[in-house]
Amino acid sequence: MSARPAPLPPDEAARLEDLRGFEILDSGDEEAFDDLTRLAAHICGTPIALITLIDSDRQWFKSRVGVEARETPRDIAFCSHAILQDDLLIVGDALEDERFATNPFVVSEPGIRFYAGAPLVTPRGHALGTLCVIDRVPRQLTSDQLTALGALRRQVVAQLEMRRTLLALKEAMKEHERDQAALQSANARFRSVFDHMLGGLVILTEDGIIEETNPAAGRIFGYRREEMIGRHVSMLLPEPFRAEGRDFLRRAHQQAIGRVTEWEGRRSNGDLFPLELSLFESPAPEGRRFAGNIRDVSERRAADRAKNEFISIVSHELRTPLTSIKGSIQLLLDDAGIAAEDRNRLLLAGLNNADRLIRIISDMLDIAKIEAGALHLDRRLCDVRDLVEQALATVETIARNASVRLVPVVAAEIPPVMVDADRIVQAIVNLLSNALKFAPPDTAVTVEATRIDDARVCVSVSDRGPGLSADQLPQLFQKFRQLDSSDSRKIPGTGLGLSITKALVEQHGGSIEVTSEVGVGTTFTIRLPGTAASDT
Amino acid sequence: MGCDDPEGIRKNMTMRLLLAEDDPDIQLIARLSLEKAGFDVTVVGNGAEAVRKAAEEHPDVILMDWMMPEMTGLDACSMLKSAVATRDIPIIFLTAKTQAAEIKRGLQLGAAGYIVKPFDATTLGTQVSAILGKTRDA
Repeated sequence: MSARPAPLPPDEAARLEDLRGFEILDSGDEEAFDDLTRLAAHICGTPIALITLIDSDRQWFKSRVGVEARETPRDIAFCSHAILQDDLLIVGDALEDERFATNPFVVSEPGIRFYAGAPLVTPRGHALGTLCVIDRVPRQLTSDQLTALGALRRQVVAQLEMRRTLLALKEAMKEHERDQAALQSANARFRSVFDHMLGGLVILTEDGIIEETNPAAGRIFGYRREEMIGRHVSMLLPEPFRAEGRDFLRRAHQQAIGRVTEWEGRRSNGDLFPLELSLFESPAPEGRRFAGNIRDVSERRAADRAKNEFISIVSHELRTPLTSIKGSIQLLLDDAGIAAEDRNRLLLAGLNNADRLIRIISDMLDIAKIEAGALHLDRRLCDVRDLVEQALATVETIARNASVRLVPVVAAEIPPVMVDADRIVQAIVNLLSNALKFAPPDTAVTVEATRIDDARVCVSVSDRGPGLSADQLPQLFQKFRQLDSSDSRKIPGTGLGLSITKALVEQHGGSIEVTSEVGVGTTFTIRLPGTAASDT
Repeated sequence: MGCDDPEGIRKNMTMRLLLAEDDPDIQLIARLSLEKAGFDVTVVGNGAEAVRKAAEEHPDVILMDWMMPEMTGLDACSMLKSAVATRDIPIIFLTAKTQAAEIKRGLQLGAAGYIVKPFDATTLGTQVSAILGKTRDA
């Protein structure tokens, strides 16, 4: 059996914790420690020198000279005894010492007789293990050797501490690198959000100097980033704010911090536009910073205006015929005092306005259908001449009332077309009605059908009206758009006819174009694909 | 003549109304309705004619459409209100413009009242009288 095991040191728990903190157990060989053990063996003239560390149940060798094993059990370790004292443990002859006389290392391999162990005491006062020298013969150390061993032990402790500091440093650096990487990735994420957000962001110093802008802000204001950075925010504002200069930010701060407020902005080309601003303060090491979150609401305002205009037009267009329908019925119901001639006129007024209302409603439904993509075509092979004649028949009365002649010119050789007859007749009727609105009395409106090639046919409607200028043409097909949309316009209507016509023709795979000359007249031309082309 | 001539009294009390309206059907309906109510109605087809006619005939009240060719009812109203000779003639809008902002705009020009289309053809005259009564009381 083994020798009497050493008792545990009183600071065992703290000692073990201290030891673990070095993260050295089971680490590889290190030159710095091996140099010290070699030096110890050399100075003391022993075949064996070790740096041992006493773990909870083993002694582990950080460095070893003359021993192959990396560790031994703690309960038979000489060093377990050595760490119990502050000073060196010197065993001149193990066989003479009752603590070690029966120790397996003494009675068998490696046959220890001499042991000198210098406890490795950390600055925190815990003995982690020893620097020890061992011989197979009994012996003593000279005082020089003892001094040297003491110096070497301090070196070992210093080395251990240094190693630990280095490890901590490396760990700190790794952590720093991780932080750095996290920071970079957060920064990249922020950048990406900043660069891709729909709203404009302008970051200002306390003095209102633009420090950073995102691409959206550049798009909104029409400047490149470099043109804005370093300049005062007043460059983005209209005159009254420009003059305010530095005071602007104070006012904006009072009004727009954490709230969405409406301001006017100024683009690089001088255009003023409505914007929504929400200002927030962001702390920065260089001083207070203000971030302005900006939304260009000019399109929304324009859409609101268009919507209001549309509601106003629709309301007017529906109410006007209803006024005549309701009024004529009311007067006819109580017909006392109404001349027979007036009664007839009232009946006609009611009827005509009912028709007018029906047209307006069906136009509006058509537009709604077209916009919802729910307009379906019932295509059949049709003779172009029939389509033109049907359209002419529809507007005959209107033409007669307006004293305008309708002149059809249909080419003899014209291929049939694959179309929804009702819809194409509707399109031609719309063009004819439009022409009749503008044609002066005693002029002609011509409808001409010609063959472009086997695959295409065109139908054009020409009037001798006042004509249109080049800049008016693009607006023609816009929904609810009337060239004269003012309250004093002469020509009634919802402004839907031409946009419906265009949509109908395009749904057929055709196209529509217009040529016009002021004082001469206007020609609308529909191109229809023939039988060769037929999709949608 | 004097007081015992009922015809004369009635004539004196007959309100002379100028109707400015471009839609011929509505012209007819409004005129018939107002005539039944005892108004003496003159009809014009746009704002410019309304301004001219009002200056010439100085009607007791003008019933004015908003959307008319040549000159809108709004413009005609401002012109009439800014001319010394016509500024005291009460103007009532008779229009299919029914949005709150539009009504406000019309009244801000100094109109005495606002009747929206479709109007009630059996009570149009009463409505006009009611507005005029209110104006006189005010």
